[in-house]
Amino acid sequence: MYFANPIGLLGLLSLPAIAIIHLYHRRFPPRLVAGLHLWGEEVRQPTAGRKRERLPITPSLLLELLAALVLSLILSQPRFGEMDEVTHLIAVLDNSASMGATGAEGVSFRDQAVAQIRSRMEDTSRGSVITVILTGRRPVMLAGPAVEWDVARQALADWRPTATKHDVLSALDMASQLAENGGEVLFVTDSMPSEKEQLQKNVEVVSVGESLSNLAFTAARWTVNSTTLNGQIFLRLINAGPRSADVSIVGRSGTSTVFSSKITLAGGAERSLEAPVPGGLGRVDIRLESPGDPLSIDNRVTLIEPAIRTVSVANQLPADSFSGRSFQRVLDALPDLRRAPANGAHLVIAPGGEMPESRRDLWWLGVGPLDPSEESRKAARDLLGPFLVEKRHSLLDGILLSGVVWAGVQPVELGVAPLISAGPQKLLSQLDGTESTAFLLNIDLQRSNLTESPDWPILLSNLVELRRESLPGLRRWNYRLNEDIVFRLFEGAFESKETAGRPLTLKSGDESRVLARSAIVEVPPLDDAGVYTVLDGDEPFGEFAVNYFDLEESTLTNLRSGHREATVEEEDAHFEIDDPYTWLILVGLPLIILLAFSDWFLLRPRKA
Amino acid sequence: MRNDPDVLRAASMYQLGLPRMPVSGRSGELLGRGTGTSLEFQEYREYMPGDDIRHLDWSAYARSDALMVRLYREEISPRMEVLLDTSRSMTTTSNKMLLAKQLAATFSLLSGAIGGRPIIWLLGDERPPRSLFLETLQALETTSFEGQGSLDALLADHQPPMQRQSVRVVISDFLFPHDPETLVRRLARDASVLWLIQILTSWEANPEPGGGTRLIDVETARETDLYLNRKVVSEYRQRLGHLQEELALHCRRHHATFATLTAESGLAVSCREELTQVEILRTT
Repeated sequence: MYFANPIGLLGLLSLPAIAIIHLYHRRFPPRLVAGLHLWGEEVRQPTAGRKRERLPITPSLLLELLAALVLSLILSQPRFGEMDEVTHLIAVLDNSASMGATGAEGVSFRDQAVAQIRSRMEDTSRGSVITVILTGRRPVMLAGPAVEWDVARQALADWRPTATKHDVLSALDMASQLAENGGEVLFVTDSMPSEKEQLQKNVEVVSVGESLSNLAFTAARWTVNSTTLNGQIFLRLINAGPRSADVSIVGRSGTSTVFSSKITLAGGAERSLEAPVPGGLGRVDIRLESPGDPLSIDNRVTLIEPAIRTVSVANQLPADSFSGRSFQRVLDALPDLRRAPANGAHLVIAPGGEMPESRRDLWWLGVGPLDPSEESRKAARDLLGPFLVEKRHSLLDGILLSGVVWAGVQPVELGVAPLISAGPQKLLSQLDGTESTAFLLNIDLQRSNLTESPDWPILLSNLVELRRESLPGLRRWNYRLNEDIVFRLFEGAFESKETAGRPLTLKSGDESRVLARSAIVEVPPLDDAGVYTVLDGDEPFGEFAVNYFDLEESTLTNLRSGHREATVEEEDAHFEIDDPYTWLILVGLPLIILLAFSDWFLLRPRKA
Repeated sequence: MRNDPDVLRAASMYQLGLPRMPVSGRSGELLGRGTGTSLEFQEYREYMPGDDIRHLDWSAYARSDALMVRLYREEISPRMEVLLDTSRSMTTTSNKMLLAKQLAATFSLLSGAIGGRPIIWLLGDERPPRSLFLETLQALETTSFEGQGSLDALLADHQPPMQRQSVRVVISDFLFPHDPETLVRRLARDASVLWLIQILTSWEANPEPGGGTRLIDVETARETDLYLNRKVVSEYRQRLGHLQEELALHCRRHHATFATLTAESGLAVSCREELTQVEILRTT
C-alpha cells in the first residue's frame, strides 16, 4: 500500500484535522435535562483566556478517526498486487572461474549475471524476495533464504567466481528444494547446458557467456636439487583460442625478477617452460600477460620453494659384511639421504639379534640372521615360496619377490606382525610392544638372492620414503585448488604434553581457520588460490601455495549465451486471489457508513 | 385519558387516601364536621321548625310524646384540585409525561367516584391556567407540555385560583429552581390535604457516570458541556437529594405528603409500591 499516493496522503491529513476539531470544537452528545441548575451549571465560572485541555478520547473521536483512516486507505488505492504476486526468486549463480572472464564489450560475465538478477528482481513486484546460491563442489547460499534484494545485492557485490570445474546439479537440487514452497529457479551461467544435460525441469537457464580466446597456466612445479640447492621451475601454459598470441611470462621474487620469457603461442598450442632459479628464494610469483586476455585468475601462479626433507640413516651392520655392503650400496643411491650416528638417525639398520630401544622417533630395521651362531645358521631354512606379501602396507609397494630365494629363515620368538610370510615362517615382520617403528628382516642375505633382485632397492627405497613421510612438516608446498592437503604435525600417534593444547591455524591474508590437531593433519580442499601459512600456536609451522589450474575452465571458446525457459511452470510461484482492491471497497464503504452512523448515533440529540 | 386502561385499572383498584378527620366539602361520602344526612347516627334533639321531618323519630314520639329528631353525621364530598405541571421539563421522556397525565386522570376519577368534582389545573404558560373537569378529562390526552415557566413563579402570581379546604394534588418534577419552604407553604395554604408527587425519569433520579455530554435545559435551552465523571454525578445526586429532603421536610411541617415516582415504573407500579406506601392511595 502506498500512502505516498497523493490522495491517500491527503486523506491522512484528515486525522489531525479531526483531532483538532475535537480539541477546539467539541461535539459532545447532547442530552436534554430538566434541572440544569442541579448539575452545578450555575456555579461554573468561566476562566479568563483559552484553557488548554487534554484531547478527549471519545467514542465519537475514535469512530471518526477510524472512518477517515478507512477512507484514506481506499483513496490511496493500495497495491494488493504486491501481496498476491510476491515472488521468491532462487538465483543459482555459476561460481566457476570462467564467470570472471571479461566479454568483448568489456563487461565481465559475473557483472552480466548480477545485472540479470537485478533486472529480474526489478520486474517482480515489491516485497519479492530472493535466495542466491553459488554452485561448487559444495553449494553455498550466498544470500538467503528469501531475503530482500538489498541484502542480496550487498552479498553479490563481494562475489568473485573462483571455482574450478564442478557439477552444478547439487546447487540446482538445493534450489529446487527451496522452490517447493513457491519460487522461481533461475540458473545464470556462462555456458549454455546442452539439451542432454538433465537439469531440473523447473529451472530457467540464462547464459551470459560468449566464445573467447584465453591464455592460461595449466601446471607449475618447483623442484630443488638437494645437492646444489638450486631450483628449477616448470611451467605449462596453453593458448585456448584459435589465433596465435604473444605471451610474456615473468617470475618475480619480491621485487626482483627471477626469470622472464616472451613467446608466441599458436592457437590451441600448449607449451612447457623451465626456468632455473637459485635456492633460497622462498617464493616466486609468476605472471602471464597477453594483450586482450579475458581471464586473469589463470594468468598468475605463486610457488613456494620446497624444503629438502633429508632422512638420516645409521647403518650399523658390519661395513665389511655382505649385508652391510648390500645396504650401503642402495642407500648411497637414494636421494636426500645422509649418514648419521645411531643416536641421532631417523632410521637405524642393525643386526637382527639386537633389539632396538623403545623410542617414538626411532625407526629400526633388524637384519638377520637372527641368531648368528653357526648352529642356528645351519638349521635355518631356505624358502623358494610361495610368499604371502601384505600388499596394503606401503613398505611393500611394488614388491613381487619373483624368483627370490629367501634363505636363512630362523624361527621368530618375538611378538610380531608378519608383512611377508611363507607358511608359518615370518620373513619380514613389524615388532609389537615397542614405541619404535621396528621391522625385522628374517633372512641371511649372504645365502639369499634378494639383494640381486629388483625388489631389494624398492624395499629400501620404500623404507626410506616411509621414514621421510613420517617426519613432521609439510610434504608438499604447492597444490592445486581443491586438492587434498595432508601433512604430519608430529611423530608418532601421540603428541607431547607441551604442545598438545596449542591451536593449529591455517591463515591466508586476513582469513584464518582452525585445523583439527592430530599427528596427521588433513586440510579440507581449499576453494581460493593463494598462499597459506600453518601456525602451530603462534609459531609458523609451514607455508604452502594453492594455485588455480583448470584447463576446462580456462577454455572459453565453447561458451555461448542463451536462454532456456523452465519446462515445468512452477505452479506455486505465487498465489492469486480476486482483486483485493475490489474487496477493500466492498468492505470499506459499508464500514465507513457504519462508522458514520455510529457517530451520528452517539451524537444524536437525546432526552434525559 | 379517561379510557386509558391503566388509569381505569388504577381507579378501580384504589381509593383516595384521605384522612379520617372530617373535611369540608359537598354532601358526599365523607363525613363532615357537622351533622348531615349520613346513616351514621350522632345524637337526638328536640324537633325545631324547619327540621327535616324525615328525621323525626316516631318511635320515640310514641314512647314519650316528644318530637325528637335524629341527628346524623354530615357526609361531604371532597374538593379535589390536581395541579399538573405542564412545563417542558415534564417531557424529557415520554414516560414522564404519560405518567403525569395518568396520575392526574386517576386522581380525578377517584375523586369523581366519591362524588367530588375534581378540577385539573394545567400549569403552563397560559394565564389563567387551563383547567379540565371530569367531563373534559379526555382532553388531557392531547394536552401538550410546552410551558417554560416554573410552578413557583405561577404560584407567586396567585395562579391558579385555588379553593379552600380542597384536597390538593401537585404533580411535577420539582426540578425548577425554587425555595422548597416557600413553595410548600404556598401550596398548603387553605388546603385540607396536600400531596406533592414528584415524577423523575430514572436517569434524572440516578444518573450514571459517562463521557462528555452536552446538557441542554429543556425549558431555558441553556447548554453546558460536562464530563459526567463520578465526581460530577455525585454532586448532582447530592443536590437532588437535598432538594427532595427539603421538600419532604416542609411537607411534613404542613401535614402534607411528598412522594417521588420513577417515570419508567409506570402507573401500576407507582400506585402499588409508592403511592399506597405513603397512603396517598388505599386499596379498595
